Amino acid sequence: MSEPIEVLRAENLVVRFPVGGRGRWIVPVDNINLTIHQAESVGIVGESGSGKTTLGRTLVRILEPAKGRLHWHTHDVAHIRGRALRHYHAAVQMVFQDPFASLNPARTVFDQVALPVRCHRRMSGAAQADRVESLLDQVGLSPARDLREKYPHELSGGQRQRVAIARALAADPQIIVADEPVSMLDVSIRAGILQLLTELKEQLALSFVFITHDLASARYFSTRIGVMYAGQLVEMATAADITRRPLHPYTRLLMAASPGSGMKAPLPETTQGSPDLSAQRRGCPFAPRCPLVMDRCRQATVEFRWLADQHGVACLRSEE
Amino acid sequence: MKYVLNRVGFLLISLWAAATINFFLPRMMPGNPVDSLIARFQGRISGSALHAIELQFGITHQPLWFQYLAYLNHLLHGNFGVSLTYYPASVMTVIGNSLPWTLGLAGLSTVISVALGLALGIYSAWHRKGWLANALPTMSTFTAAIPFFWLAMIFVYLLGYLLGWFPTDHAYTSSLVPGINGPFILSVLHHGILPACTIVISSLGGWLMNMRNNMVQILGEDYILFAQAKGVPDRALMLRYAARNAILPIATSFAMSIGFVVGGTLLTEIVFSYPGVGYQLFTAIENSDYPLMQGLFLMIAVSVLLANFAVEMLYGRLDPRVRRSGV
Amino acid sequence: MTVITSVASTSVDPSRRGRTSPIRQFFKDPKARVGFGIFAFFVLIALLAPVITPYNPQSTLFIPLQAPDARHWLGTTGNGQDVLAQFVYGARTSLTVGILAGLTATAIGIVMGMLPAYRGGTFDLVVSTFTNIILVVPGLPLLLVIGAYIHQTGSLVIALVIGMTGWAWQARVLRSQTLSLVSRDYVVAARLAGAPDQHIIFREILPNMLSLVVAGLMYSCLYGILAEASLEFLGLGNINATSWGTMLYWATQGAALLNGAWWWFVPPGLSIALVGMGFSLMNFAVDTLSNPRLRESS
Repeated sequence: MSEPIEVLRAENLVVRFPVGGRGRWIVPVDNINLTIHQAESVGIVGESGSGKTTLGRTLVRILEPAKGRLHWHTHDVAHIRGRALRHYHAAVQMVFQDPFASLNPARTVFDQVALPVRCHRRMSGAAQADRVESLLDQVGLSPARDLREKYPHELSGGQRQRVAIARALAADPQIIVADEPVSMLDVSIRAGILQLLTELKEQLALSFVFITHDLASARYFSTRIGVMYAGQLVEMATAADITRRPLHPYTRLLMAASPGSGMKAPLPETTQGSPDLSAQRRGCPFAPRCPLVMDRCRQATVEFRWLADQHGVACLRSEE
Repeated sequence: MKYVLNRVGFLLISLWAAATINFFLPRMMPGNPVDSLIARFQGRISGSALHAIELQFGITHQPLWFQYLAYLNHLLHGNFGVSLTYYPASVMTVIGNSLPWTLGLAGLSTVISVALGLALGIYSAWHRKGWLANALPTMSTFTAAIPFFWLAMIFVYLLGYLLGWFPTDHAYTSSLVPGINGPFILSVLHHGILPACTIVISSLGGWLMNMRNNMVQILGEDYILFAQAKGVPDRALMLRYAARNAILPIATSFAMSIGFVVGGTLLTEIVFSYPGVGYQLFTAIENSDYPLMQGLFLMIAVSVLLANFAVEMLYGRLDPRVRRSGV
Repeated sequence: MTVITSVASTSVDPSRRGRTSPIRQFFKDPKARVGFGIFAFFVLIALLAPVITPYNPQSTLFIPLQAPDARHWLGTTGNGQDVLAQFVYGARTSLTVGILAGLTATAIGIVMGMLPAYRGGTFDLVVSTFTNIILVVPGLPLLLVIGAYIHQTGSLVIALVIGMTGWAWQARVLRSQTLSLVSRDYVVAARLAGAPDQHIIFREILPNMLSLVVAGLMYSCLYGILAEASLEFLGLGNINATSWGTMLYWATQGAALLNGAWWWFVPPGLSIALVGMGFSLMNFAVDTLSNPRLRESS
């Protein structure tokens, strides 16, 4: 097996937002390292408030990181703007969670899919129309002719998400960040969309970052999985490895919570509110909820460490 | 506190902006209108007064920034120049004589109009089944579109000339000596009724519609439903729950409304020959008395800005969110 | 007169309602029908002026101050002009200037509201402060002062000046709506699609607040017609043009009130109020369109 080609690498990535003035910050992405290889699918799993969406949006450079680096092949794209950013967007696209919100209600299917074809690929006229038609065909929206002049509200949820996927493909990207692409859809059509994404990944040798709160669908879709909690990456491993041998207590909790799992974890503390994202927090962010918490956990900074070739974790217990 | 500082800052900036607009307007106009004015008054007013006007309107070789600073300096010392119409009276004197009439007329009418408009708006939103409640918003689209000056003309014609119930010009009977005495005050009130009615009727509709819309919005909120289910009496629900929250957004549109009411008051004064700033402004315009005109404009702008500032301060007290967040 | 459009309420998202054509929905509202009816009536009068009256509005051929009769349906002026002729030809000027002023104000409002909200930062701070200043500086006195300097000017200039003093409210409304739309996913998606800024502003965001723009346009036209009438009434416009405002100016000059010539000053003023009401009703209906809660109440 040849060495996989590295496409995108986040190095000590930090994203923060001011809250309520007075110099207070929250840090939804806190010192994250992540590598995406060619034709690989990386799942990012976490609960709401874990910072996974913020991470996704930063990888696509909708958001600008406060610190750290973002390597696209050999370029640092963390702070690019203008033309360079536009160029980057041609290569790194996104599929949003809510296809209702991500499609412009005032524009037709054709308009929305044609936009990146025109702006990124510089096609117009018949070439553009052909390209849009083949894209719609590719995402299973055929015959395209019936759909191209329709508005989003005339489509079903599944059709809308297919249009959004077609739009992401239109720029001919190398990476697609899919932010919970099925969570807003009816259960009955989720499988179809996941199936479509899998096919695209294989046909086009695309890399995927698949953001989800659901470990089961991450395992179905991804080769490697990262688990996020309170803005930090707490565990990273291959999908098989993380299922067989979850190391972080939070991962175990997620495993126990997913249906059909034989895994039994100690019951976690759930009386706490949402995870603390403030810049002033100390110690392991999971400590307040952790069933295995030690005194040290509340004080010491916990480093992410690679234990095996493909398996890393940020937990003091793992050092014992 | 941050809110107060913010608003004080905005007040200062807008005062400065009004003064600056006032400075640049005559200098921006095509065909230098002041030249002909100077020519017309040559010999009729003293040379020094004429020179002052030349300086005031930029007929001088001094650089613009120097003129501007001199102008600001004069303003700060309350020096608005000399009125040509009322020469040798200063602009400040004319303003001092006319401003109280306008403040009284516009102030009183606005208070009545706001109170009445809000009350009718609440009524119209609350009794949505009644015919009057439903007719009110439509009626107010009409009254709100009536030109102030035309309504004033109709009043003058119907109630002044035809029926003879009210005097049709000036603020008091000219044979009376102004002062705090019964006949004079009665005369002032008698003269003031028609102009006040004009302003109230023309501006009422806006408040009514705005209040009604906000009320209807809020009456659909869950917390109103909850309060109702909890057994809060209707009256309290209407006034303390719904109306109080519905009034808050209106304060933000007050800025524009007050300017509109002042504009309407000026027009009303002109029709009634009411001796306020509007009538004086019109006289100044007719006589090309530019110093007086500019002084009046600035004074009107400053009054509106101050009124607006006062409302914003009040708003800050009424709405705890504004008070704390300082946005 | 205050604006009926409340910003927060007007979240324009037609997609979730399974919409019929917005135009058809607009005309379902009786208010819209009445408002549009009034507007169309006066437009028709203006267009058909030569058909309605055989007289030249400026010719002073007739006996002055005649009450309405079969020959002169609306009587004659103090100068011996036919009031009906003045009225129908005056409708042309008043409507044109009012609508032109409304369009100017709306165009400026769109630019001054959307650009800063989209750009953000210092640019937004400066422009929106400027907008707020223009909003609080009283418009009519400013208009009068400008009118005094550019004495006796053409109708086109008047329309532009009115438009340039009346855009601030709309800019403010559109700014806050743009602020709320600019972070929507579909705008982000358009940025990812590599779309240039002007495409995002005018093709992605603007179409989603059309109802606000239309409501603002209705309101601006109402303001424009009133402001034009005020200027003309004071003799600060072009007193030789025929418009509803100049009719009222000449009526005052000719002591129509003292002479009891109600037919001279009632029609133009009443029509200004009616046209204004028409715009106001349409504004109302557009507002209702984007704000379902107001609908059930009417």
